[in-house]
Order: sequence, then structure tokens, then C-alpha cells
Amino acid sequence: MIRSRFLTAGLTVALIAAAAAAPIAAQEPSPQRGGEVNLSQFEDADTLDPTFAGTAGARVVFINMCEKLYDLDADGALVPQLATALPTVSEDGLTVTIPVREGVTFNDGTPFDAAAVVKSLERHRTAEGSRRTSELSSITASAAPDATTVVLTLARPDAALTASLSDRAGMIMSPTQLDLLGADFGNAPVCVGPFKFVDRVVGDHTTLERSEDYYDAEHVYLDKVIYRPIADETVRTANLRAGDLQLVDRVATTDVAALKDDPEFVVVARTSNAYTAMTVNIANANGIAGEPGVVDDPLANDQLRKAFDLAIDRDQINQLVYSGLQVAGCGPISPANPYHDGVACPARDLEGAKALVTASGVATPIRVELQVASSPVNVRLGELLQSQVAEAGFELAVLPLDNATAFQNQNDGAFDIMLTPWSGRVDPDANIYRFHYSTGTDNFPKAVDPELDALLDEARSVNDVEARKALYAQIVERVKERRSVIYLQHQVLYSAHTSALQGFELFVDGMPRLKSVSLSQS
Amino acid sequence: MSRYFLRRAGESLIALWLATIVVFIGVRSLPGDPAIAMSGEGREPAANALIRQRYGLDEPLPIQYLRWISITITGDLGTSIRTGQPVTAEILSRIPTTLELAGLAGLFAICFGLPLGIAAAVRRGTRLDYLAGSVGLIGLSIPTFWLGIVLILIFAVWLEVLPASGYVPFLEDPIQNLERMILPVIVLGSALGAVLLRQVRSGMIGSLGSDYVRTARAKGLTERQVVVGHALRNSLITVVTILGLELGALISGSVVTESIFLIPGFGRLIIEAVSRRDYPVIQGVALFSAVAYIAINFGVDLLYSYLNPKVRMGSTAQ
Repeated sequence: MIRSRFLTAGLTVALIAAAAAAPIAAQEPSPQRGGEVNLSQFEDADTLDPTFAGTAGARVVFINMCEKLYDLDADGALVPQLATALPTVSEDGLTVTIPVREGVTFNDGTPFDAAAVVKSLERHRTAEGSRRTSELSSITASAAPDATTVVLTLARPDAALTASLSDRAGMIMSPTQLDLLGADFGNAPVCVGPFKFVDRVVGDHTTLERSEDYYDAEHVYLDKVIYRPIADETVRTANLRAGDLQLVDRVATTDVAALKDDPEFVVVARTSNAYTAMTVNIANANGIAGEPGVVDDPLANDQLRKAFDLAIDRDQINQLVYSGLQVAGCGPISPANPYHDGVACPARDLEGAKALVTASGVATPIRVELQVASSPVNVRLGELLQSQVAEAGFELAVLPLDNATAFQNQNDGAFDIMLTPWSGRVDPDANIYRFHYSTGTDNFPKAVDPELDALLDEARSVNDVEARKALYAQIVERVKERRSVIYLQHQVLYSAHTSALQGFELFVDGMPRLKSVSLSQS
Repeated sequence: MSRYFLRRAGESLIALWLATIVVFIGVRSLPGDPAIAMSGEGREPAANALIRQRYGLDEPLPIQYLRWISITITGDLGTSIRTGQPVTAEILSRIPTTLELAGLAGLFAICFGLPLGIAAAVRRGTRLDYLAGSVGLIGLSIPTFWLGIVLILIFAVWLEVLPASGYVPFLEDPIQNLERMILPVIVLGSALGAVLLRQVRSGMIGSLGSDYVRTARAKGLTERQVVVGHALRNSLITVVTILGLELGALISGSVVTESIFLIPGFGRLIIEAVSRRDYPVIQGVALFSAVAYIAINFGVDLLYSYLNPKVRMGSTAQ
């Protein structure tokens, strides 16, 4: 009797405890539909036509409006988006087959199919003035044998093609809207996307609204997304604090600590593929399109260039210029990238630098000019470099310039060294080939190395990941040794949003994806 | 009067033509190729070559000038290299915003500078005079960008009584429009207000010490009649001249204010165009500013001649 009473009491307690726990478990908040998010763009888009767009500002809008054949996951791995699987590549590497979704419509109701994909790819490839031409240069033809299959014929194997199709070159535009607007597509773009274009006032705002035609519309929660181009980072943060913005795409490192301390805001960080480096004029005497020649730049000398590099203290730069919030880098591939060689940057070697300067026989101080795009951070960086390399015998003059002048000087070879940021790409080929290939479009140093060229050509044609990694390890070692580009840091991106914004994740490409983001209404 | 008008009109047209040459040469002298500046990171040589060809950037400069001036005199300022939109439409869409900002800032400057200047002059040597002088010095010294950020911090972030940024057209929502204009107007108008304060003060001090004012007092006029009806009227000549010069500067100098408060006006248009070397936009905006300056100063000269008949008579007298 007593035993049964105990048993009954125990069961009763257990039942009561379970009943109490159930509401707690059920109180996991589900995303709420509704609301609009105002977010900053650090630069305005040039055009909202994926074929002709050249700015990161346009990419920021596209990411929520214009899906691609492939996308990235948060860590930068390629995943299918409008495609249903990664591409199948023939044994000779010259035929690429991409399966695409069915039952999907563009945001104007036009059915999405393989023919629409081919139309977009051909436009990207062949339209006059297209900025996607080099990204798709390996493709000679594209075809749609059926509604869910795209077949690409290549002139050469291209291991970087899938990565290219995860950016603007892979964005698929409504064929109806292309036929209607043609070259004016950017005025009223229509794609497949969680949000659709509403309006744009250049320099003021771009408005998107949730698309009910989207194939995964039930997981899109926001009603509206409004982009506001704000170039100044102080103004961006001020607007976030004032509540006029709910999300800031790029937060200055100087604002990170204060925002982190404020419970009203959430700061998210992600190491990206972007970097800051210095491009050295080794032989650019006749402009980027001309032949290499002799330049009056002390750092064209291999020994002095190495000495300059050895005199740099990257950790000190990170601490003093970036508040310790970036990652020191000495190669073209970010630690966030699976192709990173895993080799840590060497520490500063001032004695080695001095020895090389002495061995060169060049009288000190060695005068060199560093051109930087004018900004407080870049000037601070330049001044710190000035003091570091001075200890090795270099007299570094820092010349701040506006971007257009800097680009022109780079093009013309009118520089000794130039601070050159790069926003970074997923595939290592896109971060290396154009800068280091002898005839690369961005080989501003005009450095020539046939062996490096051969390695780069081989790496972009090999589809096996492990084989590519081995090749890029050799390439990076050669790039580091040559020092035509001296890498300083890999960029950690910081975004900030109000605590009411739920589900936001910062991806390695820094593009703010808002598909599954919601606003807490409480 | 009509001879004076015609003479000033002719001079204005010559100034305008010279302005087109200065604008064109100035823009072309900027270092940097628009095609390269436009392409940013994504350099595509073929696309850049097409831009140069499409916008005639590979032609000799005199040809480029003639091509530009021939369409400009029809009111067509060309097409933006960056956005592909007509420059005239871009300017016209933004100029009402900047005119509103500049107009309200000018009004604020008058409301702030004029009474304080008068009071400082009338109460010369008193605490009010020193206070007005300090206010004027502060208004001239404070950098616009700093003032803007501080006002945002105080009123938008801490007190949450005003929005931090943005613009709503007046016809869309007058209340929102004026609410969002308060801080930008203070930022833009404070320096001009300080200038007006000092000019009014010194002008009034000079007038109040003159013979005709002594005569007016001797005739038994009230102090208010003396100050407003006599001393102020003469001081206004200087004020009108300054306003004429500065209003043009308000329009073209609204760059920083518009950038801080995200107002889609003229100033932001020019700063973006310059950074991208968008020649048609830079030329269009610079020319528009030149026209505004010349037109405003033309108007000021006419107003000046009304306020001071000696100007008209001197121009027609032999």
C-alpha cells in the first residue's frame, strides 16, 4: 500500500514536471513574418544588370534578388542554388553538364528552365560591353537539350567555372524581361529570388519586396528590404544607433568594440577571401598593355624587395591599425579558403632585412613612394609602414590619392608601390591568375615568370581538388618568393545589426543574405 | 535701367561661355580614366574600350568640347557613364532637394544671423554683444562634418527626437520632410548665419554712427524707427551681396551635409561623379552651378540697383 502510494506520488511529480517543461520547449520562437529592414551599402550599385555590373554595391543587392546557378554556404563551399547539383564534368574537361530546377518561376511569372539559363549565359558571354566575358572565357557554347539540363562546351578545362557561376556570371535573368528591356534590363531587373525589385533612386535607395513567386517563399519572412548607399563608415554606425538602419554591411574596426558592448546590437564577424596588399612596380614601364621595361623603382631589385618585406611587422599592423581585428596575411589565399597552405606568416626579420640592404650595395636611405587610396585607415597603415621599414634603411613617402587616380597610376605604371585591396573570390584562380600571370589583366608589376604561368594554367584546368591544392601550394610559394605583390592582411568582415533581427549569418563573401532573416516584433 | 539690364545680361552670357571652357578643361584635367575608374575591381579591357568609344573619350579634346557644347545648348547634358541615365534628368530630380535644403539653410541663417547681428550692434560692448560674437566665431569654426555627427548623436541617438538621416519629398509628407530637414539645415546654415551676424553687426555699427542716423534721432524718431528704418536698410546692401554669393555656395557646397544626412541632392551627385570620373555628370553639375551663380548674382545686381539708386544712375549717367 505504502509502496503504491509512493509510486503514484512519483508518477504524479513526473507528470507535473513534464507538463511544466512542455510549454518551455514549445516557446522556441519561430520566425515572424513582416517588417522591413533598412541596410547600408558601402557603395552604390552602378547598374542592376548582372551582365554589366562591376561594383560590389550591385552584388549586395543581387544576393537577395537574383539567384545564381550556384551559391556559397557560410564557409564558402559551393552549393547548388538554381542548379540541383554540382556540375558533372566530362573526362576531358570540355563538357560540363548542369541540372537545373523545375517548377520554378521568375519574379514576373515566367517559367524558369534550361533555355532561360542558356539565354542568360550567352548574354553574359557575348553581349557588347559585358563585364562577365573573362569569367566565362572558357565556354564556347551552351545548350539546353531538355528543360532541366544545361550543357556547356568548353575550349579548355576550367576548374574555376563553377565558382564563376556562383557570382554574377551565374545569375539568371527573366527572358521575358530581357526581350522587353534589352540593354535597359538594369532599370527593372527580374530574376528568381526571395525578393523582387520595386524601385531605385540612384544614390539614395533601392527597394525590394518579398516575392510570392519565389519557390521557397514560405521561408522568406521580411516584407521589404531597403538598401541605402552610405560611403562613410561613421555615418553608417550613427544611423544604426539612431534606428534608421537595422543592418550595417561593413562596420569599421574602430566601432566594433563599442557595438559589441551595447546589448541593442549584435556584431557578426567572418574571415573572408579579401586581402590588403602592396603591389610593387617591378617592370611596368609602359603601362599595363605595354611590354615590361626598366623602371626607376628601388624595389624592382629582388634583394631590396625581400628586405622591404622582411622589415614589415604584420602583427603590429594588425594591432595598431586594425585594433587586432584582422588576420595577418602573407599570401594570396585566405585562411578561410580550403586552398590555404596552412603556413603561418613569418615573424618580422629586421636583421635579415638590414643584411640584404647592405648586401645590395645601394646607399641608404632608399627612397620609395607608397601610394594609397585616401582614407584614415590607409594613411595610418602607410605611416606605420614608414616607421617599420625606416629601421631597415628605407625612406618611405606615403602619398594618399583618390581611387580614380590610384587606378590610373597603377594602369600606367606611375608608381613604386601601391596599396591594393582585393575583395576576394571563392576560387583561388580568381585571386591569383589575373595578378600573377605574365599577361594577366591586373599584373601591374609586369612580373614575368613562365614557370609560374605554367603552374597557373595547369591549376585552372585540373578538376581534382587534392591535385589543385598541391599545385596552389607550389604557386603560393613562388608568389611569396617573387614578392611582386606583398600581402599584409586578410580581411575579417564585420557586420552589425539590431538585436531584433533574427537569423542573420555573415557569409565568407560578405554579402548580406536576408532570405531567412526575420524581425522580432517584440 | 534697361541699358543696365542689357549690359549685365551680356556680361553674364560671356561669363557663362567662359565657364563652359573652364568646366570642360577642369574636368578633363582630372587624373584618371573614366573607363578604368568605372570598372573598379572588375577590369574588362573590351568593356572599357567600349565605354571610351561610346562616350567619345578617345577623340581629340576640341572635338569632345564641341560635341558637348552642341548638345548642352539644347538643354541635354548627356548621359551618365556610370548609370546610363540622362544627366539632365538626374540633376533635375535632385535640384529641388538641394534648393529646398539651401533655401531653408539660408532662411535659418537670416533668422539666426540678422537679429543677433542687430542686437549685437545696438547693444555694442555689452554681454549680449560678446555672446553674439562668440556664437559667430563658433559657427564659423566648427567643421560641418563634426557638427553633423554630433547633432545626430544628440538628437537622433540619445534624445531620439529627430531622425538621423534620409529625405522624404515635401509633397509626399510635409511633416516628415521638415522633420528630416531640421538637423541638415542647422548644419548647413550655421556658418552662413555666423557670417551674416558679423556683417550685420559691423554694418549696423557703421550706420548707427553716421550723420543721417544722428539726424533721424534728432528729428525725434523712435529708436526702432532709426534702427530698422534707417540703419538696417543701408546695412542690408552688404547682407544682400553676401547672401547672393553664399546662396550659390550653399547649393554647390551642400556636399558634406548631404553625405552626412543621406539627402539625395546635388552635392552627393557631384561627389559620386567626381570619384568615378563620370565626366558628363561632373560637367553637367559644374555647369549648372555656374549658371546658378551667374543667375543669382545677376539677380543680386538688379536688387542692388533697386536698393541703391546710385547704381542705376551711375550706370546711365555720362
